[in-house]
Amino acid sequence: MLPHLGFFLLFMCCIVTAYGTVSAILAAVWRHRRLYRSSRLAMALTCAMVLAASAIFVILLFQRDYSVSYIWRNSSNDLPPFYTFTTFWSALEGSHFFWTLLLTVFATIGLYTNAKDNEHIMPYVSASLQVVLCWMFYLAISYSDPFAMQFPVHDNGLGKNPLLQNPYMVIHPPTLFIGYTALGIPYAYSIAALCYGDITEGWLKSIRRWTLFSWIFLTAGIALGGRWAYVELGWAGYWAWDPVENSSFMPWLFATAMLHSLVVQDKLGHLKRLTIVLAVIAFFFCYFGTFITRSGVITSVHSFADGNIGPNYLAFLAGFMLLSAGIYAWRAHSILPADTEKVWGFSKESALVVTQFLILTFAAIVFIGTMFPIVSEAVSGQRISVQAPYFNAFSPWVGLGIIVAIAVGNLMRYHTGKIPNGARTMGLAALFAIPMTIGLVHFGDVMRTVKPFALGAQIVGMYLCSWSMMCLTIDLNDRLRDIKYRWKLFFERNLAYFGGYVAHIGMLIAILGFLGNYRGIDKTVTMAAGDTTQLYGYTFRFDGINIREVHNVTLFEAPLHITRDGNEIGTILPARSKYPTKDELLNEIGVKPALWYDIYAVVADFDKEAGKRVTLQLHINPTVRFVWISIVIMCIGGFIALFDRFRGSRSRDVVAGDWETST
Amino acid sequence: MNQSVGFTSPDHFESVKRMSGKFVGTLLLSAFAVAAPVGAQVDNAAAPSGQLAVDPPGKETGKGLITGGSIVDSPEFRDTAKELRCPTCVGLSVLDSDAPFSVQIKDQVREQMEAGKSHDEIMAFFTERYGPWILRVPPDTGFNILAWIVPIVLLCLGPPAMWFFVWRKRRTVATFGIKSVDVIIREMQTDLARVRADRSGGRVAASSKGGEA
Repeated sequence: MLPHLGFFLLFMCCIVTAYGTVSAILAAVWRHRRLYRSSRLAMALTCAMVLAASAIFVILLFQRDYSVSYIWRNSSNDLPPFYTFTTFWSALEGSHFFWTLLLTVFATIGLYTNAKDNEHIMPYVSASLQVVLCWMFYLAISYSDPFAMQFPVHDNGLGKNPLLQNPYMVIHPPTLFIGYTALGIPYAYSIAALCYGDITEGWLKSIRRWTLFSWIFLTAGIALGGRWAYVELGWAGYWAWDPVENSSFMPWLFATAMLHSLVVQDKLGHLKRLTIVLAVIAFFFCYFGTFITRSGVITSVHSFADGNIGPNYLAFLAGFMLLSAGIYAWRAHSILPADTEKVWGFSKESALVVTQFLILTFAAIVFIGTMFPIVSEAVSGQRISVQAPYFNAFSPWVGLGIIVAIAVGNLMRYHTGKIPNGARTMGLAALFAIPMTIGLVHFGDVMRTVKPFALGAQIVGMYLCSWSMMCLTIDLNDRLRDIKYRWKLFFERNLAYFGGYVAHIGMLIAILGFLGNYRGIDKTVTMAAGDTTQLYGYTFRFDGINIREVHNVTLFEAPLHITRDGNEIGTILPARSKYPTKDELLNEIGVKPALWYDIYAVVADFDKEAGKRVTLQLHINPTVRFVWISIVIMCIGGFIALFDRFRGSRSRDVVAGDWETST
Repeated sequence: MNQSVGFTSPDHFESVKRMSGKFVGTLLLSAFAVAAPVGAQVDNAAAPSGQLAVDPPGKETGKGLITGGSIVDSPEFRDTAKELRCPTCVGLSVLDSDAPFSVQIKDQVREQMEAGKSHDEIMAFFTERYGPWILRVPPDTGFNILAWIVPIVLLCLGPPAMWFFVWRKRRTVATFGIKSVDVIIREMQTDLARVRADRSGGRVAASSKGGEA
């Protein structure tokens, strides 16, 4: 009964959003206010229905109703409640449903929280969002039906993919999905600006808030995915340039570029059309990423590779791009260039354009690398691979550009070629950066790097990062001194600037963390019980395999006692785990995290007869902590900037027109 | 739930033994399954066929994995193994993977290094045997060279192109026949100056140059 009700609700959602789309378009054409209100009400109704449907879905999950095919395939009786709940988004239909739910919620919030001056463009916003939702609901009742039922009903489910039974996998998909779906509002506002033919008052403020909100969640979501790979997959890294990682990274890059073009638009009115294009592309790439994930076009860890949904996604993507590009080509001329006679020259706005150039070029490289195997096979018939070394060949250079752009760009001012106290600031920073670099080299034990190129890259990278951080900090201090250290005033008026400062520092710390990849060491060793082995000054002792049960999992643990010069460091528990519904044994990583390097151990193999022998991979992973910390800092920076009340207030935007039928 | 069970607890011992029986052949496949849980079979089938023997090396626990030795720990070996892809996993090199195929390839690399072959010779051997697919980067020949040229061109020519096409061109609202606020202010100031100059009988001509707004 309940599954039928759930399906019925989704079906109704599809119809109501179809009505919402049509009524919004008509409301826009006729300038009919009540019709728009009706379209908005349709959105609210859809929201209520989809919430009810997901409540039903959760109830079914906890009832372990195996008459529902999705639940049978992805759940089982042994799952603890926590993971039972997360089965919601752990496979194709559920995650599509979850995504739809989030987009509905954000769309409803977006439609009900618009600036009053913006109401006249809201029909376009409503139409852009509901047409996407209508298609998503259509998929949810056709090719990707979470409530699809089956007969006979089984006693137990097939079980959830054990790799997903990890706390990071609980939080990673929702975080990323929030980021993706929140980008829907900037996209809708961009289409609305094009259709309406002008940037209306408050437009920038709304779009900035939503982009920033999305950016925070994308940042956190991508990092959580990396963290999951680090603790679950067991290849001692957090980023493999896997096609799906890339496709979650591209929207982030576009959102980041968009935040920078919004700053220029806010201050000077330039780059309006770039913002619009980026907003559409960023949202497009969210779906493009899902297409890659779902369709199995590119095989990946995340691939659910499921039949008919692929062509549908492709049709949607093609339609989306054609429509958006068509609207842009038709309407872009109505978005006028900046209302200023000033040329770009050598100024902060130019620096911001250079920054965007770097970010977008990076996105292009990631895109080329992700798609090239397909293109190459289609063109030359030759199968090739594009993996990490390809991306690693380019990213240091982009990173270098970004470090310099962060430093110099932040020191510059709008409308002027002069950097206030430029020579002094950069000189002082160059001086202060020396002890900082020495500290980083000393504590990070950089000098043990064997290869000259890797060593040089690290030292140059560390020095430039330190220099960049010092430039930013000295500039912050100068700005504070200019207002005589009136902190209250500063925090009242400059939250956007301060958030940007924090986020940029976070970015630089992240780059410092990435540099650690140049000097990781590892070793593979087979040990019998009682043996010890040495790595990087640490002694690891193995005493034999333990068996332990945690919830539904049986763990075969190889406890390693770590000592250094006779001092106890601790015990880590790398393990193999056995899940009741799966045959394979999975890795559970043993990590001893620390600021400068993690000790990381994976059980490659063990003696299954007596538990007296184990083959281990031991890794020393430098500055992985830096990356996790930097992500937190970046998110905090974004969060601070979110509360700025003044960004967007100075924009020279037009007031939207009036309704034709306003009652 | 968190109870600890000794290794000799009959239940678990049985289950482990059963598993080990089942896993004699596919023991290493489990390691490979970890690296590529879902796409594994798909990709496996898609790998160039007939060239990789499906014969997991080492029937005995632990023997199949490369476990040390002078060449295996050398940086040359690591560099070479890092440049070859694991045929059955996603995004990993054979060095980072313990999938049976990767172990096989690593063994081959080791043998070739022991035979005294250079890094380039080994790469050429694998490219010939498995096709360019085995390399982790696209080869710099034929159509695939585009994958290298396009990013380099973008990075090098992007800034000059931006300067040439965007910054140099002063495309402003005037292009659309609309006066910008700056222009309007300047005109008003010029007019104001002219009016003042007229009133004072043309004496104050100096102020007519207007202001840079």
